[in-house]
Amino acid sequence: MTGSILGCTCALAGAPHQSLPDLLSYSQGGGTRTATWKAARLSSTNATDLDTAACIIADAAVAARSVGTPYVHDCWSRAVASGAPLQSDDAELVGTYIDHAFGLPGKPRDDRHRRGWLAEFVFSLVAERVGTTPDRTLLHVEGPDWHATKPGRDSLVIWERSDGVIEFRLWESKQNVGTAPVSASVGDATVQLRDNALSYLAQATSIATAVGAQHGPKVRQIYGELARLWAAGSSQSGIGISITTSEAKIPGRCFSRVSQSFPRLTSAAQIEGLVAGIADFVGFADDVRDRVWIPL
Amino acid sequence: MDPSLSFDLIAGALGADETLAPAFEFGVLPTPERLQDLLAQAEVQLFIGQEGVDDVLLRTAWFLHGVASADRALELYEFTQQRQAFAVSAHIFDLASHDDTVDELLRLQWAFAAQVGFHRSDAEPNASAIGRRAATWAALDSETIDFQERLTSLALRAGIALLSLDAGAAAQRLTRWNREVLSFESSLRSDDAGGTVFGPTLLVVHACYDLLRYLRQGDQERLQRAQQGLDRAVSLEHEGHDHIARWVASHLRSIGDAVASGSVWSVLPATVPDAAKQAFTMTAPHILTLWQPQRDLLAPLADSNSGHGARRLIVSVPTSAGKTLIAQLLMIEHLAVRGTGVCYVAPQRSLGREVRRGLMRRLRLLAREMARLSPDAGIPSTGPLAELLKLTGLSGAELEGFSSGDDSIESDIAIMTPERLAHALREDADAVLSRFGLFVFDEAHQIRERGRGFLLEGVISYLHWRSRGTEHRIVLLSAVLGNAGQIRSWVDVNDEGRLLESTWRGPRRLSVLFGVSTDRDTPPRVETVRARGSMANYPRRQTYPVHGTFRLKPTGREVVNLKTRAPLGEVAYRATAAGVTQALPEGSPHSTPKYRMLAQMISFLGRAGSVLVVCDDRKSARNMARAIADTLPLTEAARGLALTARIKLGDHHPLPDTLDHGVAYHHAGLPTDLLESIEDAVRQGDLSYLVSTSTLTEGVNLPVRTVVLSPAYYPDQPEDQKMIGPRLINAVGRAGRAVLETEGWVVMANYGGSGLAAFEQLEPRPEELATESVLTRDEALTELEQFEANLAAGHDAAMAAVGCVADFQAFVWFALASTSGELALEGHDASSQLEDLDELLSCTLAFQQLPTGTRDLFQRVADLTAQLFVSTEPVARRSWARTGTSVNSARVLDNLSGAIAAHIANSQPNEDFAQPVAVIELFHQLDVWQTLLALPERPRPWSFAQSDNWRAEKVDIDVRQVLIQWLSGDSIPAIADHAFGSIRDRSWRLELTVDTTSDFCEHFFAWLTSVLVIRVNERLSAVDGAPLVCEELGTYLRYGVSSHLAVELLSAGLRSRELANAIAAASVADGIAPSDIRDWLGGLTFSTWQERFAATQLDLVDLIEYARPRTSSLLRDLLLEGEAVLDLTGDERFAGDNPRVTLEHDLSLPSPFPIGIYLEQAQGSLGALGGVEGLVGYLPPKHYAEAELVLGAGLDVSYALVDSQLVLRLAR
Repeated sequence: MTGSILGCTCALAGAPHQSLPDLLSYSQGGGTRTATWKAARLSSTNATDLDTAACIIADAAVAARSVGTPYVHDCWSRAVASGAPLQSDDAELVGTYIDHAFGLPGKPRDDRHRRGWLAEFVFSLVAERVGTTPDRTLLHVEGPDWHATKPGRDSLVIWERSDGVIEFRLWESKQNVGTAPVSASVGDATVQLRDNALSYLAQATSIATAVGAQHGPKVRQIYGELARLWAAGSSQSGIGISITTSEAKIPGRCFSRVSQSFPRLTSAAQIEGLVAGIADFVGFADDVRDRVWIPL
Repeated sequence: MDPSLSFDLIAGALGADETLAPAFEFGVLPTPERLQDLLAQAEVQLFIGQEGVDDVLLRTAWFLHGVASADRALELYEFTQQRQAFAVSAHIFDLASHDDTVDELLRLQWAFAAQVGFHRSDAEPNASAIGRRAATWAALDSETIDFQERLTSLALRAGIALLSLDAGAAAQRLTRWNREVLSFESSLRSDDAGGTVFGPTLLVVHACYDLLRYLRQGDQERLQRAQQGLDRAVSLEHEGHDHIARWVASHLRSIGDAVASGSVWSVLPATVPDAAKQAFTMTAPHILTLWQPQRDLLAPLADSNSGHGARRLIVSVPTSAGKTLIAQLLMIEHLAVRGTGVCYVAPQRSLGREVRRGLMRRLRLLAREMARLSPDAGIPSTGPLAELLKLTGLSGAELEGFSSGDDSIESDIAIMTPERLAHALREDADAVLSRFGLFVFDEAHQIRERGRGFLLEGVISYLHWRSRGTEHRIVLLSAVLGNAGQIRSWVDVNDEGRLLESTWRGPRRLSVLFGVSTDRDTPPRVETVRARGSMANYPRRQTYPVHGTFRLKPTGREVVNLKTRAPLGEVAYRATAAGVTQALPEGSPHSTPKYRMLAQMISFLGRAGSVLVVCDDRKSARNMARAIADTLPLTEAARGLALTARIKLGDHHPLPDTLDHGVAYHHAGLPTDLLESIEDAVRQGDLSYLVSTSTLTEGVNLPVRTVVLSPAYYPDQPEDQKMIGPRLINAVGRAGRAVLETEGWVVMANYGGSGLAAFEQLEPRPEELATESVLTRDEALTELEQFEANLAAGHDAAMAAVGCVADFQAFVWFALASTSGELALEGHDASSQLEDLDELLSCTLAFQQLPTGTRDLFQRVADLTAQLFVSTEPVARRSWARTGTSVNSARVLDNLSGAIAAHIANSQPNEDFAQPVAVIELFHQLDVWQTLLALPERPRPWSFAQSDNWRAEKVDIDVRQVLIQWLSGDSIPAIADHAFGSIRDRSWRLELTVDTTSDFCEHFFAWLTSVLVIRVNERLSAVDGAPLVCEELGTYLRYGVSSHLAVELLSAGLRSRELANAIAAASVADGIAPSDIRDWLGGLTFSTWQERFAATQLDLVDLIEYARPRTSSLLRDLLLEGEAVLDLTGDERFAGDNPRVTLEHDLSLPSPFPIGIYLEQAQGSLGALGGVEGLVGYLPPKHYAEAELVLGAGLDVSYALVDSQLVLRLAR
């Protein structure tokens, strides 16, 4: 449960909102012994929760993108709350921060990139809930990049197991719309991780090693070892693939072929998956964008 | 094989971690052996133009990058492994970043990762090269793209620009981006833009700009601000905001620290003034950081509280390791901190000129000038020429007769040949030691060269001996000292000096063997030919295609073979009717000569960067240049050079024709100024193909991308033509242009099959590179035997000495004269003369290297020479010591001078011997020229033939006519057509003319004429009423001119005698006083220089430097005061005030691009209103050099026109 949202765009104006992870329902995925995956769903029949989810995501996105400039989130929220459009200079200012993810009313972004960024952002909001088990607790999570089209890793999540061992999962997030099966997006993510994981991990090592990085010793240690653990297929290493799609497209079987691309990841726990089915995802993504655009 | 492909490096980078077994098993990573093969394969593929690297290689590169980047404090990996991992990853990323088919953002990441790896493995020049290369393919300046879109990759681009450490274009880009970022930040309406999602990118751009400011100007606050910004970019505050910008920041933080600690601001001692440091960071080539060998050399200097470096220093580092900069750093540090001058000695004039040009700009920040270039035999210290040179700004120290201890003369840097220094020592050794505190001997390995080697050894030995107990410093530099330790012990007996020995170099250097392979699988082209005589049974000709082959051999691995896809030529065999071919192929024209196939390959290689082809002799060089030109279309690239060559050599010379195709050749048979124009054209990228003999590779610092060696290696080949030992290393060392390329290629033409011996040939053993005194050679023993035999036959010691024994004897004679105080102003005790001599001899390299028996024989030569010295009349023995010839030749010259003086004194001639031509005629009349040509000092016999075939008909050439034409300023073609007119082949005639004027006029006759004239005039001075002969004759012969002003111009740095003569004539016609010549020239325009003096582009460059006022330094003023002024009073164009103008080169006109003052665009824009409408006017040439220095410094400067003055202000 979160508090009330000043820039609320749903029916809960002034009232507390649930968190996004709370709004989703979860189930264990099946059809494979070489991966572990979950389905998270938000049905289109649950219009209230859907409305709340879009509101939460729109607000969180604006807040995340305008971090360091409280004024931006504040004036966006006030404008949303008042229903009055922003003055042109404030609109321009807000536009600067949201453009790369959502585009602007007069200059929309490519839909695929916009939904891709949203898929990454949704995963960052639910990553802890989805990944936490009685055997491990979250140590660190890297969020999505600020730019919708920028290539690179989508998230790196670091856990501490109950036996004290630190492990990481490198996540790739994809959106899936239209007629393409979810497995096609899983395949794309698999290829991307197979080919590029080492580049993402190597860069992450560099960042965490820098003088100005402020990680604790456990996180710092595993950052130093990412490339080696990954290449060796250590049980501390693993991948995750997150697909955000429409609720109706959540498959019964999924992720069964991923391990073929990573033969050294011998445990099912090293290949994690999430299929987040949110109503009609195309419409939902447009709805979130439109809420962000309200005061522009 | 280059270390970049060594198995040890590759295996070390991957490490011996057993947990990685699954990575190798499942193909995530290649084994070290496989990686070595993949790298070698990728290298050769790139070499032949096939770009793109294997996915496994790329994956491995990132793995290694991750290993290398891990926090050292965690002790996960050994330091050595991490360094090796950076090196190997950089190599792979470098290869990958050539691929122009991939997404630009990905390619930028590879380029940056490569730069990081190179920096972290001490290969900074390669990081610079990557940055410069990226500037050619990345849309770095695409300002048409929305700034926010560019933000995506701006941090990467800024990081790449910074790590290119290029204070020119990259610095300008960073300055512009920094301004754009500031403007963007103001639009964010945030008190703290660094805390926004854009923060990492904004912080990186500012940090790059600040780091650059620190590196250029030593601003410590900027350095700290950059460090803080980068720390913030990677902090958890920005977790998830901009992964790539944070990755860039993380590396810049650590590299920035290293770069800062390797900058001149950190490495040079605090005692060195800022101006001296700015001399390196602000003038081209800009030195923002030092390379490993340079840091190794200078770091102790910075730590030393005493502020003085070692008195003896031996630097043995490969070509492209920054040897030239080491010399510059030592010289400028010395000049700036100590009170004495610097003497830089280079065996080749071309190298000396290059070093001089490199230092001139830097010295202007110290408000110092280079000393004049003077002939080996010096310039007369009295007479009208000396007076003129004093008027026009000659350093007084340069004149003979300079008296030591004259405080009014400012210390300077003088560039000279060993011959020039030897002459100065013979004239007044104490003055030399008083003037100079540092002696730098470049190419010191040339001590081993027959001919001039002992002169160089003698000079070093003498200086060493004289300065054992003084503060004088001696530095020996070489890229090929196989026995550097022994050389150090020669001049550093007390072990107080330093030896800097390093195998470090920037660009990796890979060697391949080029061969040809007949394609017997393809059916031959068959034709029926007339079969007669011994060929009657072979009525067919079968012609097969021939492909080029390349073989590369990584150490310990199999040879990598690649074959050209298209054939390079054909080979024809005579065959029987049944198709059975003869064993040997037919020659040209039926079969393609191998050199023509090599030429085909070379023409392909030139597309990727400049190619230098090194041939054994001039004829091979000329033919190869022609063959390459035949494969290439006509080009405009070297049009100016071709025009210059036509003017200087005439239409019939083969060089202009090859230049029309962008191909030059370079050998000692071409005029010096033309050779330098060719070198400049290669440096500037106007010429991609240069074919040379070893005259280029031995004497000029001219790196290229690819060196092709085409040696003949035939029996009885002259020693000085064989491509072995230091000659081979020097040639190979030109491959790979540091900071421009990451790799250089050496291609050895080898048609001898698949054996591996040729690979070994490319890497001479250390003993082959040992520098040994010429007195240790086998010929010395023969010449010692001849000395004894001549003595036994009744000759005296002087007549008995030949070859190197005569050289040794001349050294002993000079030493005796010097130690006895006859030459020195402050003499030594005459009674200790022989003792001193023994000590001096023990200071020679020869006496340290010779076996006892041979040393004793040379000691006997010395003893006998001393006896002769004592028995010789004092005036004569003093004059003999000054000639620089063998003792016997000195005696001949002395006698000759007596005869000449007697003739003049007795005959009361009508001629005016103050006129040079009259003296030439007199010498002709007295057979002086023939006497001189009989001396062993002659470069070769005065003998000429109709062609270069040894059986060709001989031709008589009149010395007098050659000399008179040479002095009159006639062009080379004019001299060729008259003095050499009896030679029928015009190109051969031209070549002989150049050889003759170069070897005989500029050197041999110039030298001995100076000696003779001085002695003749000494004798005539003692005769009442006797006229003196023209004392400048030797100087005139040196330069091929006959006016004082022309000597002034040439000794001040102009390279063309035609230009000097033309200016001298024009100044007389215009009635310009000699003292006003500089100002007069500076007030003309480029087009006047071209039209009136027929000045070429190279000439314009020389004139710009000459016309520069000597009393000001715009850049120095700007840096010191923050403001500087250029006075344009009297020029109507600049009379109107304008508070906002810009200063820019006009690139639409031919080089050197004029510098114009332009009206600036409306406020807020960054550029000028280019084109004619914005032009206020071009700066007069006198201001060009100063303005260019400011523009080249890359500073943020604003300009305004106020009261006919251009006011420059430095942005704070």
